[in-house]
Amino acid sequence: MKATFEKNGPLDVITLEGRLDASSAPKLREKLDEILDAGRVHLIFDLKGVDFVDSSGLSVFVNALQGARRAGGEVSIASPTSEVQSVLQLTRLHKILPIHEDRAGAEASMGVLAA
Amino acid sequence: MAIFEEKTDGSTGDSGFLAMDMDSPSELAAYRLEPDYGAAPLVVPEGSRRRILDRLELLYGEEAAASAWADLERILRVHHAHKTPEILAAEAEFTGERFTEKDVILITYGDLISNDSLPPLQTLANFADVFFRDLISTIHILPFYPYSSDRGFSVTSYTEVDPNLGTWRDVTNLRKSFRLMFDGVFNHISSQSEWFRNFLAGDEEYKDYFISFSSGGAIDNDHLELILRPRTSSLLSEYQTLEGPRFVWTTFSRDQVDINFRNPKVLLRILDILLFYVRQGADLIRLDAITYLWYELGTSCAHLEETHACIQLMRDVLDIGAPETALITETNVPHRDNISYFGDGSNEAQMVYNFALPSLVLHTFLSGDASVLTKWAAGLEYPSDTTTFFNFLDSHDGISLMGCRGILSEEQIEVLCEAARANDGFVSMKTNGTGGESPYELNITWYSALCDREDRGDDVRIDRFVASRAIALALRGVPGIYLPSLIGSENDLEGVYKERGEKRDINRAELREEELIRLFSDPTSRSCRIYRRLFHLFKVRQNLEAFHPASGQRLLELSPGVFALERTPRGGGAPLYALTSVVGERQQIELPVRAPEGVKSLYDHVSGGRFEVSASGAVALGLEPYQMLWLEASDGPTPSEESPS
Repeated sequence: MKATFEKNGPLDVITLEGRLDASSAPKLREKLDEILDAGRVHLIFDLKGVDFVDSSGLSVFVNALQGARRAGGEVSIASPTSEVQSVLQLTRLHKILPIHEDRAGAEASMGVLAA
Repeated sequence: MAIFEEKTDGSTGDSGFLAMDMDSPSELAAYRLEPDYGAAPLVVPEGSRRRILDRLELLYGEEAAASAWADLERILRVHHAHKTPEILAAEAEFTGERFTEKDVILITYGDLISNDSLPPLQTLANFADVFFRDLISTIHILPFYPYSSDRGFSVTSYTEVDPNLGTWRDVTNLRKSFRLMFDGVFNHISSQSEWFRNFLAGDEEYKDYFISFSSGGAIDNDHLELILRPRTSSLLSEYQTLEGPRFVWTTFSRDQVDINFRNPKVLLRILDILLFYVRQGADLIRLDAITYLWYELGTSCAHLEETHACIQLMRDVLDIGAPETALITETNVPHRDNISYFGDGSNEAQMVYNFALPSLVLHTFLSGDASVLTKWAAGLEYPSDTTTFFNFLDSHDGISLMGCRGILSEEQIEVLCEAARANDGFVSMKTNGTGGESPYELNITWYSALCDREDRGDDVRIDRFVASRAIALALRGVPGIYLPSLIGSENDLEGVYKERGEKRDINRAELREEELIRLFSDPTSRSCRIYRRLFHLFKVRQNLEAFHPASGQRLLELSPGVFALERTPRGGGAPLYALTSVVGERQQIELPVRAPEGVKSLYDHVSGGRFEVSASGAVALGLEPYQMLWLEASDGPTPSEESPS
């Protein structure tokens, strides 16, 4: 899995490509902990290039959301494929993780101004 | 633009199941890793001490009982020294209520779900955390100890976790989100275990750990014929010991050697292990094959008074050392014998496997007639509000035919066997003692068992399958489901034939996590459809007090094609009517209801529909094939109830 980290004002946009599964999730979780520890708590996951997410991958989103919310932040998902979207819906994660068609929509919904 | 309109802020009141725990994980209190002997010691109440002594005297006589009690008191005190202030506080606040309408127990092997990256118990924890959290209350992880055969039920070490599955830490980690059920496989132990190896090596300490004889003919035929056995293998198995050949008692297989509870040291070790399981996170302990615990030549060696005394001692020990932990007995025997393990309602198991239920529900759907099930359920007795049935339909074993003996006729049982064979399943036999054999269980998945050759596509099969599960959810007790049923698994014939030809492997196929998620990603897949419908029922059930295990139950005879229950909330109030059509045709029925004055309609929690109550106090219903209704005099969905999907 490839992950690109981009700062956009108060937002951190994490663009993921490939498979987010038990083999790639621990490393991503570690990096996200660093971001949250640095006080950057408004995160967007751009999943346009992600073709598969397993339960470890889903847990990454949940952990990020827990960490961000504790610090007054928020997490959004942008551009999931229909397969990933189905899993998010089935697990009801869509009810706590706002999901948007594209990154612009996610940025607009975060309630903070991107640069 | 948001793709999902249901976006919420995750605050309380959100119906998303994860939202509830976002900021306050409901992790259960854990024991100290090391005992604190400086803490206030345990004082065993005199009544408990006397009760335990009485039971020990029954088993071992007065002198040995006094000695055993001294050892047992020490074991209890050591256990007590592991308790944290949080555990002591939780025990002090414990009301005795162990099970509620929120309970659903998931049965799974520790390695049923797998991926290539993580140990199986971690995979299970991750998967369960995302897919089952707040829907399943308890996970029964089938034996996760090292073993030598019988898929875990031939344990080589009671106090270790099979390294192929993970570690104790992985087990504990699962308990962050779920209560756990452990197996106590105490009737027998592996022939590869240290205990048995020590016996073979002539170790004096282990000399009486097993039941052994000097010759294979030591038990005469008259006695052999009396002994109740669930297997057709030889009762005695020959082993070479340091002191020559010995013939040891093996109820289930040569590799599963029965433990000799006539030796008080054995009982004490098992009680110590019971408390060890509590410290590792066991909320329920399943007593496997407990029926055969004690032997007495000249009897059936099943359900003996001494066996019940051993279970009562286990209960005594838990009542003193871990009052929140419950016992559940797995006794695959006729219903009348099965319920004897409730004891007097306060002194044995808090929960008993409802072994008659699976075969009776199967009979109901295959015959399209709920009459036998209704009549049997009407006679169910619940000895106390703290005891209840484990209403399962399937498990890692087959569909038992023992529980329905005396309820279904031999002809009706044969019809079940024929149907199982026609649906590519198997029938396992047991010996009758007199040399004859009779059907013991059906080896087939629940989804395949319900198959009707005339079915046209998945739609009707899914409807029938979900309807069958709804019966276990509505009947008084705690419902259980075996993981493969959550996705409607069909028979795994390849699994049966690829290794040892073990028939039970037909329902033990490994589920690859990636494959599961791909199935879940496809809303049209059978797995996804079943998962969604079952979890809708689970979620709805959680909010209906009428489904509390202590809520009242009355069977209604509306039509042979309908299984109908009236459940009255334990706290009082209007009853809930749970109706399940067991036939593939539309039915018109009239349901007389006891609704509060002024109520003009009943709300169906399953479909979200509403049905008018006539002036005469009845509801006219057009039941679709395999439709289920949970009707209540309610204004609408309960606060966290989701709309049907």
